[in-house]
Amino acid sequence: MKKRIAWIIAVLLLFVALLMFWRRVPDQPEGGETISKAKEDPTAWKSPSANSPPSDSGQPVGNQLPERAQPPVEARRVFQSIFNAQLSLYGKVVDQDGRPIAGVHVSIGVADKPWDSGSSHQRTTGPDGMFEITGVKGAGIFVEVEKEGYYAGKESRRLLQSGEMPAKDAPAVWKLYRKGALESLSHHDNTWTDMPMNGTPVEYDFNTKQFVGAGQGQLRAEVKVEGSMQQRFSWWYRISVVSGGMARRAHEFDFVAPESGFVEVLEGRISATDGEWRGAFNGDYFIRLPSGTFGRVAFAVSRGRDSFSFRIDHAAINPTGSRNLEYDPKSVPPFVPATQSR
Amino acid sequence: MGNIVAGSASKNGMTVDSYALLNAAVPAICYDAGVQRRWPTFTGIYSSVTFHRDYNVPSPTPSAPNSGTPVDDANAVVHDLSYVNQLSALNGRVVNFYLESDFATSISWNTNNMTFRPNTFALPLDGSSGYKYIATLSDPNWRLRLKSFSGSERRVTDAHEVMSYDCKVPTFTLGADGSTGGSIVKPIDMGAYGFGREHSAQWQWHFQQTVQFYHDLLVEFGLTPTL
Repeated sequence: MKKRIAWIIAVLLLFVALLMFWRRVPDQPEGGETISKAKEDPTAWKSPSANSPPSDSGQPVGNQLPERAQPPVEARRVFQSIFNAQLSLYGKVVDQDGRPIAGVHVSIGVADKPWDSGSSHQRTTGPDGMFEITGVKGAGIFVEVEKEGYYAGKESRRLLQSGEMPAKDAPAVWKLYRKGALESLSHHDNTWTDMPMNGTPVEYDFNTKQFVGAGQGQLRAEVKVEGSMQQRFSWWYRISVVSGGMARRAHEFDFVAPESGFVEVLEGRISATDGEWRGAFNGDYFIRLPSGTFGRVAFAVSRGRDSFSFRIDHAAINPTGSRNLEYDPKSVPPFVPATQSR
Repeated sequence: MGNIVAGSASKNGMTVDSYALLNAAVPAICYDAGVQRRWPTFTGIYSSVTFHRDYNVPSPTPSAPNSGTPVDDANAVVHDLSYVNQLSALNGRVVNFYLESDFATSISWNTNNMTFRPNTFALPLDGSSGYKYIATLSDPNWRLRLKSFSGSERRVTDAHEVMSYDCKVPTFTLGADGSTGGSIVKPIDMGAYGFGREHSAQWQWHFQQTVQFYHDLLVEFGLTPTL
């Protein structure tokens, strides 16, 4: 009796295995593109004995072996091994001048599981700005640092993969930016307008906070689109400060406008065939206005569905004429309503 | 998955004014052929495992350029079946809300890309059946192929099938790469909202922690937040 049950179970298992196999061999979807213009059905199965397809057992490529594919159990083992790599991370937190910062709060996340964000750890930097975490396993480590009195930007957070772990004598560096003297600035946030695509200029007036016609504002944008916007298209842009200038900001916490190095016009042409084609030009620049005052502006000219827009994501002007453009965040409402001009 | 659906709809004629991608688990090279080529730099996986060339793990130095993916195939038809530029002509204002340290779209996605593409079948156990890409084959018609349990083979000629099973990707995901251009008109770094390494903080965290994100999302949609 037991032997009979065993046979039944074995047959059932074989049936399930065959069913799984059939389900894992999908048929070629209908309407697929064909590679060859030959009349034969490009999706037809070829048996190994008759009319065989070209062999895949050619010469080795690099250090890879041609004999057979990686078994799935091996792939799973590799997948698991990636999340079990032994990790030690040595890091240092510095300010914009490269000086170490002590007492920085360090949040650490170890990617030790593929299905969630992993385990969390906390550290505080020592007098030399150093911190470390050792004896953990994972595919990578995420570190984010912060301290009161400092700005935390892109360089304050970073994910290192297991192959990027720094040596103890060459620690990875995270950067915070020391806050400086605050100024009371005039702000301009989240405002935009549609713009002509034939090169007709649109200007933004920092006095009235409105988009205006040519000759009435200070920041001018022009766009010309060649052909249809349905696919990739060639287009040209020009951004300028009338009787003033623009100088690129070095980073997001670069608050002091330079004394020189301003250019009046930024322009470029994006060709439809350009390998690095894009439908927008985004800029973050210091500006010198005709009045002699300074400001900084993050702007964009970017495509929409069937038009281009000129956007002021954020701008800050110092009406006193000072080149310091570091604003007091407490003087600004937390959320500035968006406005649109058409 | 949402970005696959939305991208596919746009590719098939859907028009939108604005499209915000959140944590997009789609290869960046779909949107921008010029995006930086990058392989993840994981350790501990190359020393103990023998890889077949079809798996295209390039060398013990994983950052080395990889010539073994249809993305880089010199044959135009094979190349066009891969991910390159599949979504680079999206219409509308396309904004990429990315998070470079997102555990799902960086670490986990890259691990899967490195180990399970092309996809091998569970049977037979030696891994001889399943999808393959053979860059060195002189006949381009058979470079992308599927081998069954019985040993018979067919060509893989549908881009969706290639992308799903037969193409290792030499870029990161769009959701983990803020430098992507092409159809992306604006990148927004969700790390600035304090989302850390969380994959879906905007859905899982309290509104008080995500309010700035939703404010900015509304702005990008051309709406006036009253938050």
